[in-house]
Order: sequence, then C-alpha cells, then structure tokens
Amino acid sequence: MIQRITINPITRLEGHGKIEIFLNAAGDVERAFFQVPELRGFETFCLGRPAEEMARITPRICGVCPTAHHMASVKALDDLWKVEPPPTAKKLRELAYNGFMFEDHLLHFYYLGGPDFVVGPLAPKTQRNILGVIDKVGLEVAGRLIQIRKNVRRMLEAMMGKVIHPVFGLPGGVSKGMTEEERAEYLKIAENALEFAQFSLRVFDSIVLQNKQYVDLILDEAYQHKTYYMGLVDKENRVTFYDGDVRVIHPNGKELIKFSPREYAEHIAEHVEPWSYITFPYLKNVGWAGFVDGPSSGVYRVAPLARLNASAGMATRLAQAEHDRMYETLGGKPAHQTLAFHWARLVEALQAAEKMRELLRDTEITGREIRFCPTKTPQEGVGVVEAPRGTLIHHYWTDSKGMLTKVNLIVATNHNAAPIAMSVEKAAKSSIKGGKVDDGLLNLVEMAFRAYDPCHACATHTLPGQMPLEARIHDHEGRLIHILRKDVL
Amino acid sequence: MKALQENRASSKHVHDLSAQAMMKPANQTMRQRVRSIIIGLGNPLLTDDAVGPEVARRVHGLLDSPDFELCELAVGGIELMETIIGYERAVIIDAIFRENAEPGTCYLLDLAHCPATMHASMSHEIGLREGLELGRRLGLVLPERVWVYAVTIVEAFTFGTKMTDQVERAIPHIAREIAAEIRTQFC
Repeated sequence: MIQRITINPITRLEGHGKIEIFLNAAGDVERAFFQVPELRGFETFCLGRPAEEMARITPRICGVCPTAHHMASVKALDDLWKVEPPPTAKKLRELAYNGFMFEDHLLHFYYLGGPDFVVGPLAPKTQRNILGVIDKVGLEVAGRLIQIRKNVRRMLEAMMGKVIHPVFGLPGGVSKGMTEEERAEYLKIAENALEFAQFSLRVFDSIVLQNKQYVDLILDEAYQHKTYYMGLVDKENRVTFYDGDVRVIHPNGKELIKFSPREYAEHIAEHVEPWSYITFPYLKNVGWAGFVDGPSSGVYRVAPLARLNASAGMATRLAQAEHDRMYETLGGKPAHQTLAFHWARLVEALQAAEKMRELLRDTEITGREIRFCPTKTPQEGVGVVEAPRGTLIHHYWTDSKGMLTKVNLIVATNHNAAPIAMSVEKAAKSSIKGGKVDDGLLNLVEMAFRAYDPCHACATHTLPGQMPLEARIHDHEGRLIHILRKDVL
Repeated sequence: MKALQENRASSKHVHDLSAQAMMKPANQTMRQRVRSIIIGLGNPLLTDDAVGPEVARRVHGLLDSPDFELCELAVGGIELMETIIGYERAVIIDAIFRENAEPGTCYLLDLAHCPATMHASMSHEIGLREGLELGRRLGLVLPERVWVYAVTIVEAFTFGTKMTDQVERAIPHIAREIAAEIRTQFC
C-alpha cells in the first residue's frame, strides 16, 4: 500500500552543503571547510567500455552541462583517433555549443544570480527566487525568456537529437547536417537570441548598475580574490567556448602560460584534502601554497569572469563593447571581484548569440561533408571546451581496439574548488567575530559560491533553487557550539 | 533530525491544482488524445537513481492505454514544468532518501513538499512548485493535478547500472500499485 506523507522541510537527508567552521581562542574563524556530496566511481564505471560510448555516457554525469560533456568527449575522441572533422562539421558543433552556452548563461542569470541582484541581496528569502525576479522585471520578460529558451532548445534538439543527452558528435564529425531551410529558420532564432542578450544587459544595467548599494557590493573587498585566471582563447587570444588553446594570466594581468589542450597535465596538478572528495587543481609551476590567493599561490579561477580576464578580448563586436564597459566600471583588467562573474556571464551570452548569427550567416554550414571516418589506431586523446562553469577537460586512454584503459576528467567546479573554499571562508570570517555568529552567515556564503555557478554532484540532486546548507561552528577545542541551517522549503 | 510527519488520512496528499485549469488558454496546441503524462525522473547510470524511469516504464506498460504518454527526464527544474504543459494530469515518479525507511518503499507526496525528492527540483534552476507557479502566472495550460510518487533508495552517488537488491525487488509491486491507483483516479 502506498503511503501518503508530508515531508518536514528539515528532514532532507542528502544534498546538503555542509560548512564546518573552526574558531580560534579569540572566537574568530581559523578555518572553514565547505563540503558537498560528490558522485563516485565514474572512472571504474568507464574502464573496459568502447571509447566512442563516452560521448553518450558523459552527458549523464551532469544534467546541467550535458552538451559541454558531449562536446569535450567528442573532441577527445577526435584526438584519440587523430581525425580532423571537416569545416562544416566544426561549424555545426560550434553553433550547437554556442546555443547551449547562450541558454545556460541566461537561465543562470535570471533564475540563480537574478534573485541576488535583481531582487536584492537583502530582500526577504521568500522573495529571492524567480518569482521575485518576475515581480521586479515584469511578467513579459519571463515570457520572453521562456520563449527564446524554447526556440534555442528546439534548434538544439533538431540538430543534436536530444538536448539533454545529445546523439550528435561523432569522432571525425557530426551525425546530421543542416538544410538551407533550417539555416534560415535558425538564423531568425539567433537574431532573437541576440536581441534578448542585449536586453538582459540593459536589465542588469538599469537594476544593478544604477543601484549604488549593489555596485558597492560587487566592489566589496569581502568578495575579491587576486588569483590566476584560466580560459580557452582563439589565435588572437579572444574568448572562445568550443576550441582553442588554454591561456593562464597572472593576477597582475600578464600572460603566465599558454598551452595546447594535450599539454594540460604539464601545467595543472591536483591537491587533495582529507575532508573532501573534490580535488583542488593548481598551477604546477607556481605550486600549492594552501587556500590563499596572490602571485605565490597556484590557485587559479575559471568560468565567465576568469575567461574574460584570461583573454585579450571578446571574439565579437557587440560583446567587445560590453567587455570594455564592464572593465571600465570594475577598475581595469583583470577584475578580481567574484560577484562580477554574473556580469561577465551576460557579456558571454551576448558573444554566444552573435557567434550563432555569424555561423548561420555562413553558407558553408549547410555543406554536405559532415564527417571523416577515423582510420588510425587509437591510444590517447584529450578534448577541452569551455563549459558555462569553466574549462572542462576529458582525457581518455585506450588499447588498440579502442577499449578504455584509463579516464581522467577535470570539470569546471574542480578548477574552482579552492577559490570556492576560499570565498566561503572569507564570507564566514566576515560574519563571525569574537565568537558571535551573524545569522546572515548562510546568505553571505551562498552568494559567494553561487557566483561561480558550481555544479556540485553535477546538480543531479534535489536543491530547490538554492543549496540546502548547514553550518557547524566549533570552538578552539573542537566542541560543536552552534548550528545554522537553511533547508528545503 | 525530526521524524517525517505522516499524513495518511489527509486529503492534501494529492495537491489539487484545479484553479490552474481555469486559466486562460495559452498559445499552444492541446494534445487531442493523450491526456496524461507519466514521467520517470532519474539517472539510469547512478544505481538506484534509475528507479524513477524504470517504474514509469512499467506503469506505462501496465496501463497500456493511448491516453497515457511516457517520458523520461534526468533533471527537474523548468524542463519538468515545460514537459507537463498541455496535459490534463501528470504523474511524476522520482527517488527519495528517507531516514529509517525501508528501501523500496513508495510514497505519494504532498506536492507542497515535493522538493525533498531527488529531481523534482534542482540547484541550477527552480523547483516544481516554483515552476508551476511561474507557469500559472504566464498563463500556461498546466495539469489539473500533479501526482509525485517517490521511492526510497539506498544509493545514488555511485555510478553503476545495477540497482541495489531491495530497491530492484520492490519495483514490480510498486509499478502495480501505482498503475492501480492511476486507474482508480483517472479512469
């Protein structure tokens, strides 16, 4: 017999973010640890499977970034079989990828970032959600968002078979081409997308930038880290999402290194901590100095603001103008303000829309040559893309029959794991003084990590628009003295 | 940790969204024959998280009626809301962790608290309740009723295509129970 139940909000058992805070004898924060549930056993699951299955398996790691995993995987398979896709296939992939970046970035801005800025960081919790955003920007905007997203996803579904689990990329190309009729139809979608991206930047301008309180918050020292930054760039060092070299810049803005995706292991090492399943990547030639920023710490950041910092500029005209305006407001490049990730996300959404239009104006995209079949013996392949949340690396090793013998994935949230921990600790330090715990702690912590749009446990778990959180505060002798919770409501 | 509040006798166990049915029709085509949708939520590569899609498939097979459409989704959020637009009724089957509960136990949840399941809501978008409220404000035609069934699971954080024995054994029974309940309520 099936039972009927009501779940008490505080009984949610899994999916909580946990923050362990340890105070010193003076009652100030000594260390703070941010833990989230992580998925396990992926590499073991993959070993012994045919490598070409990875393009279908890896999108299932994450329900939020499936296209990013699909593309990184397909590029790793190209490299594994040493096959270069024809130009039409590359353009089709890049179009699909920019469509995905566009809709994902806008979704994040309105649904996750929006409540913090559009509704306001100090607004009551019950209003800090999409419904509060609608109350502020108007119902029509929500309707436009849903419609434009629907159109872009319809295009992606037609191109890739499925949006969530694409069956599109193949080693050496793609599974489906595009007709002239489709190109004409999708071009209209791209033009609407571009218009909506520009509109969203105007929304940000009028609601956030015209509000001194919000601007002061963005510029607040409590939300800054002077770290290294990483991102994919094209041949002119401009921001690119689908393909390019990896560029890393110094906290002072100068280029530190630039390397091809296959060389990533020469430049990135991973630090482990006993309190987390997550690894903490850092720059090898700078070294691990702990959870600290500055030039002597190998900690680096990825994702929208980091990508813009790591580049010489944007790849499209309108986005470049917005890029210039952003850095002028933030006081120059690189910008270290964590909350400016939201702004950079909108600038990137504009580039993605412009790129869609550019690709759809190119008649080569309807070419008939969409795949070169692999003929080489596979051994090892690396694929890198910029996921919405940062640099995504897939690395596969196989036997001569293409069966997987080793797999390594570095996902965006891995790269940002140390900075997120640092941001959480900084937020904790600002709200706990002399043993007195400010009840606004969880809100500050949430804002700090939400700017990175982290994909903990690849977001497959139940978190109703905000991470259920529990902060456990221990005194200098390790005794638990205080618990703060924010649960599923 | 507080115990879960049982509410077996309450009529609130199935949240009635009939007010939404009174909304003005949106610019969309209503499906002519299929009136109800059965959605299995979950990731088939994450051990017990596969239970939602598996139960949904079986329920759909048992009902064996063109009035029911089957859908599998890996995530909740706005996509879940968009999926049920235009249907008269929606049945969502998801996984849930519940302390001190026998794995493989199935519950029919009060919609007001459905975020406690694995996928009815998510960190990157919105919860089902918010999605329904959003759809209502936008004038979308949403189901009169939404049933959320949740099956207690043991493991959903480790990759694997085999469910734990207790959950797997319970599936045929759960599918029959849900199908019977749907026949009673819907037909």
